[in-house]
Amino acid sequence: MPPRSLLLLLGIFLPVCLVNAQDKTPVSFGKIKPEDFQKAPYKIDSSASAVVIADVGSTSFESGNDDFMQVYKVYQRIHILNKNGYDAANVSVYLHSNGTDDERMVNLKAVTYNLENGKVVQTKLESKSVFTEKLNKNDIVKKFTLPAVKEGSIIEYSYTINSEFPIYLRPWAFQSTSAPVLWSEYEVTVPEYFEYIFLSQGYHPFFIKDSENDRKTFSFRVPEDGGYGGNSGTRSSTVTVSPGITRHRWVMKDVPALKEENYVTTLSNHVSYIEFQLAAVRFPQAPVRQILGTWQKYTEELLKDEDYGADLSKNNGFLSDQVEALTKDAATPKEKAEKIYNYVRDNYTCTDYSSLYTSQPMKNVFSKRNGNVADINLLLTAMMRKAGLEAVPVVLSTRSHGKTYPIYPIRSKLNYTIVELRLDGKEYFMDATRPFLGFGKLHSSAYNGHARMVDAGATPVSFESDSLREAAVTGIFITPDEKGEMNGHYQRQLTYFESYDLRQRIREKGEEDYFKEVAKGFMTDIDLKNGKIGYLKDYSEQAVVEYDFKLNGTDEGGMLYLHPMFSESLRANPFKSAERTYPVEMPSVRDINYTLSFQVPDNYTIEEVPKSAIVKYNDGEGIFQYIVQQQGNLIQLRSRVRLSRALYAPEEYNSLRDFFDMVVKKQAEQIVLKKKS
Amino acid sequence: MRLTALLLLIGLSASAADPEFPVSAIPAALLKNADVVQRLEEVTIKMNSLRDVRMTQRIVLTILNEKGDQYSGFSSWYDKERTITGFHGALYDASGKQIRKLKQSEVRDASGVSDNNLYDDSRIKSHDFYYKVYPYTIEYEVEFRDRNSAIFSPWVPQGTDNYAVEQSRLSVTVPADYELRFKQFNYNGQPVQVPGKNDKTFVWEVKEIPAKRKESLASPWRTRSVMVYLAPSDFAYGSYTGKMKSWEDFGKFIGVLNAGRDVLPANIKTKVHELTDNVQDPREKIRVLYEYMQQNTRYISVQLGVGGWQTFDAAYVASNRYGDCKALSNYMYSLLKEAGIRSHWALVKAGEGETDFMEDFAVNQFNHMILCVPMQKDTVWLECTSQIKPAGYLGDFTDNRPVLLVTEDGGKLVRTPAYSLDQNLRSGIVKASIDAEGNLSGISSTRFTGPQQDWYHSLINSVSPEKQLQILKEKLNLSSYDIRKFNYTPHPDAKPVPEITEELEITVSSYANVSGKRLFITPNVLNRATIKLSQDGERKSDIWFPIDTRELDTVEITIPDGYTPENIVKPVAIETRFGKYSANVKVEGKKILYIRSCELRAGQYPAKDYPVLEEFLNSIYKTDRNRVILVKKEA
Repeated sequence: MPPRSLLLLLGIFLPVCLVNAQDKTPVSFGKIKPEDFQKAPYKIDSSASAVVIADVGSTSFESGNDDFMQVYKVYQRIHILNKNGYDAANVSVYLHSNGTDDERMVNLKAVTYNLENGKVVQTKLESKSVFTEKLNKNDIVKKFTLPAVKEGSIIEYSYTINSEFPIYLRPWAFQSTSAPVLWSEYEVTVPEYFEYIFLSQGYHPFFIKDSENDRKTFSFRVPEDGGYGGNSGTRSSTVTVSPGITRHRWVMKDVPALKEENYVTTLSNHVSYIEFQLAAVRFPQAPVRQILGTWQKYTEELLKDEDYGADLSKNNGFLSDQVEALTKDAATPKEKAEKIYNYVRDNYTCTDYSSLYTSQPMKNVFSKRNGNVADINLLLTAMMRKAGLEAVPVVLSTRSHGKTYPIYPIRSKLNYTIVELRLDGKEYFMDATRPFLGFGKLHSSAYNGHARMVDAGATPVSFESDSLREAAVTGIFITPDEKGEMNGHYQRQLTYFESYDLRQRIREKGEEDYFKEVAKGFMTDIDLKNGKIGYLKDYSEQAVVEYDFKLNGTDEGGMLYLHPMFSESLRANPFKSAERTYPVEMPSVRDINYTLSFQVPDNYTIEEVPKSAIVKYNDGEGIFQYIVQQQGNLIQLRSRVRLSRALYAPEEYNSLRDFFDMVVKKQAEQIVLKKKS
Repeated sequence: MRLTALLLLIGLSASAADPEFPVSAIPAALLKNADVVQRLEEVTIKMNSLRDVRMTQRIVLTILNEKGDQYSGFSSWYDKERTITGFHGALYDASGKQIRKLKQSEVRDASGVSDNNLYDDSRIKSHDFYYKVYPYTIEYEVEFRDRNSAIFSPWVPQGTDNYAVEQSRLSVTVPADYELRFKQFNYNGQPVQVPGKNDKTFVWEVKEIPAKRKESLASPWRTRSVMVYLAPSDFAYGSYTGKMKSWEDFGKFIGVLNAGRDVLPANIKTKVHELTDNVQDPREKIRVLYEYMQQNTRYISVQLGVGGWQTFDAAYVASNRYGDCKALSNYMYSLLKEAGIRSHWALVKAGEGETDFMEDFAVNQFNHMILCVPMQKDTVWLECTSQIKPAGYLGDFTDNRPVLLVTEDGGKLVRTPAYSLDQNLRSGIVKASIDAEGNLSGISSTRFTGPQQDWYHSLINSVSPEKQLQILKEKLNLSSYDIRKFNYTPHPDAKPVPEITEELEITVSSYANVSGKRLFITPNVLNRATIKLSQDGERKSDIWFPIDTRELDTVEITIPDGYTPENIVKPVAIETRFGKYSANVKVEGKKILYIRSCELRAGQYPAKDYPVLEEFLNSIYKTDRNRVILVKKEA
């Protein structure tokens, strides 16, 4: 199910040329009047700390030395209303280079305006206050902060980035997660040689969306073909071309800030945003160069890429001894696969969980025992293949990285590799980068919909949270001993992801500490003993927590009040906000079961038990059962909370919240026992 | 035969050349409670001159389990003055056999700009072997050259909890006529002194320190394990030189380093006079200028070269309207000076609860600067990086600790004020009613003073009302509730410490649990203790409680018609050396009346009192959750 809002626009627009006065960019650099300071509080958000008055950007193609270059210009005007808005005055601009081509920031202007005695006073940023921080070999960040900022200041800055990477057309966010934006505008001018597809998302409508056609002349200096071995580098000639160009312009007005809430994959899936992907390059008198091809072409290239699959097609003799040692005693292919998988998972450390490309040759990964997610899962693929198994890498985007587009193979949308293994007609997906995942299991972050196998067919695969069922079963049995003490037994089969978290916690803090916390979290005072965790090391299975306890229910004046769900109730509604503007995206479909069997001691009578109830959500798409039965001194209680979907539209939010309210309320009810006199 | 002998020889010579660290050689006592065992550490410091200090740190660690993995790498900062001249490492398996050596290309080099700073010039080199076959052993040897000699890292053989030490050695060589200053904690005896030709060497060494377990509310590390602090007598810092034999010296140096940085531009001078010339009361002048500074500056930190101790000058702050703690304190100093008021920079080790300080050893223990304005009778303290604090109030970031004043006569240690019980108070009243479905609706009014108001003060000053509501909802740990109205009224001028009053109007659906004819009501609606302690085995560390607090709560809940109390808990009153607690609940007619009082007293308490503290805090935790049980009268 694609997000409701997702609009896929191909780069074809009707030319519209009429520009009304109200369609023009409402502000320009340096034109600040005293009344501009009087506009707060702004109607759009009276509690905002800063308001972006205008955020205006453009990208155009210009003549570079011997190729096109892109010129990206940004201009922002922000009204800082109070101290919480000061962060808007700290600006970071990230720039990339690859050794030969780079991005350069030029023409930086930044000015702060303050109203002093009715007059607008300007303070300019000095160039020595711009700092350059080197992040790594290829990336730097330019940082500056505007001078003379105080409450009520208006700041403006603009800069240009000259980029020698004509393929990468910068995206534009019309919406911010921190401040409302009154006017957000992006203009992109593209020569007909470059065919981009436009991808936009979000819930806010465009105020303007138009385009017009024109023609522009570019000239380049190209080296003359001096023949083989000639000293050709020194001579060059000028080439002039005049392609048609298309100017696209998008404007949004009065865009409120988008706020983070519970159960969202990532806010970046929901902000109003437009991005671009180069589809093809069509130079005159040259064959069309298809950049964005089919998934089949894409995976074919990925397999040849030095920074992805190239090592897979080599012999990789350095793996032989290890693979041989791991598999020599394996009786079946599955056992072989499990041994290899466990070995890679237990001996390799993943240092980066978000990378499409490998960071180093496979041989280095193998000996250094660390690498990013692509390094490690491609090593796993290679080792499986070395053992004669049919393993294929699968590329996807993790939940926090955002959605992928099933129809477009766009590199920047992918950030993760897992492995598919085919054994006796069965398909297993696995990931050796997470220390507690079992064979054939994936981490919850991988359940983000569409993914592709990196093979000739580029077979699509889907990992939907809606199809991921997470079930837990808990049972508590309480019986009195001969002295009338209430002894109990607790057993819970955790959901798979709960088991994953438990394994992590046990590794960090130990079992002893865990059971101490369990005893503390029990609603009634208990003495816990014989705590044990089943399947703790069996990472493919759901873990089972078990312990015995003695219930130290404090008798209050001959009465004993007990919470029959003990530690297992849902104590708070996960949905706290009154309303929701974007969908609820849960990571899985949950089914939580609880049973209590309570033999009340003979010296008590049962005074009161909660009443049974069944609540259905949306005609059976969810159900809450709470069934209580009493037979003599035996109380039996069964509770089940089950939802059949993980995704909910904003319109369903209120009923979902009410459903959970009901669960919280019912599960808090008590049992009352009375001591026989 | 010959071949075997030859191989054997090669094997032998290799093992003789390479140091080996078999895990089997670790004494059994060191494995207890340990995640990591430091097999060997050698820190060698050689001061060739004040502008040339060489240090080599060699460390060999055996990682016993996954929890020890956090120590399996090495990382260190450097900058233009402190350079890393060598970085070597090796990995060994459990038998001590070398598996791999570090390659220079594997050493990562990253920006070290801290989150706090807009920019500084530090970078970080780091490396990790990422080995996961336990146990394994790593070795690093890293060499530094420092062109400054003002700061020496302390020697801390035992890094932290669950960390055992087999052997650690510190050796410091200084010129023969140089006075090396040091202060020891938990070290038996004195360092061995070895005279050289033109120099002298001091050697400290420890062996076999078993791992310590983590303990809550533990006293500072140096009271628990061996530490040696080193300090210079004479030192170089950038192009400056100075002395640090006493606090007086240290303060004098800071004075020299920052001399002449208090010149204000003419327009600001005019402004100062405009604001203060007609004000008589010097306190009022301070307040006016402090507020002017708060409204016209913000905190931005840029640290370059000697910028750690040297401030940007007042003119820089005047034009950019930003600066770090030093620049803003100096700016405030300059404003006050223009108004004829004398003040002093005060260096402080800031942080909530960081009140522990070595007063008898002059060495840099500071990370922050505030301003001290001596008055005739008392002193006004100013936190200049805050745009929101009332003048003269510090809060728990810098309260109750020694600070170094920079005066005309050099440095002087004085203490910042401590907050008493009533100056760190929470006092709340809740009036509510509960209906037969268990829904609660009511109002609360709570007064916070001093450090207790700090959190609320920054809440109302740093986030939007919308966000405040969201944070507040998360803080109130009630299951299904709504805050209908909330309001904070700050009283910045309250004496002796600022106060904030919080007013809430809340509804909580199903607050009381209804089970058939009974209602279960927890009368403590808004202030339940969250700390529960547990300790296994013998408590080793002293108990550390940094600040006095007092809480008073009154709750009045109107109950629905037809219910009578079935059960009311008896009054609870507990008094220990850590504080006092009492809770009383009664039902009068249609009202539940609940009164709670809780006081915790600051101090360092002996480890043997831990069971008392545990019992005390756990009783509070439990009593705060006691319920009143009402039952509906049969009709």
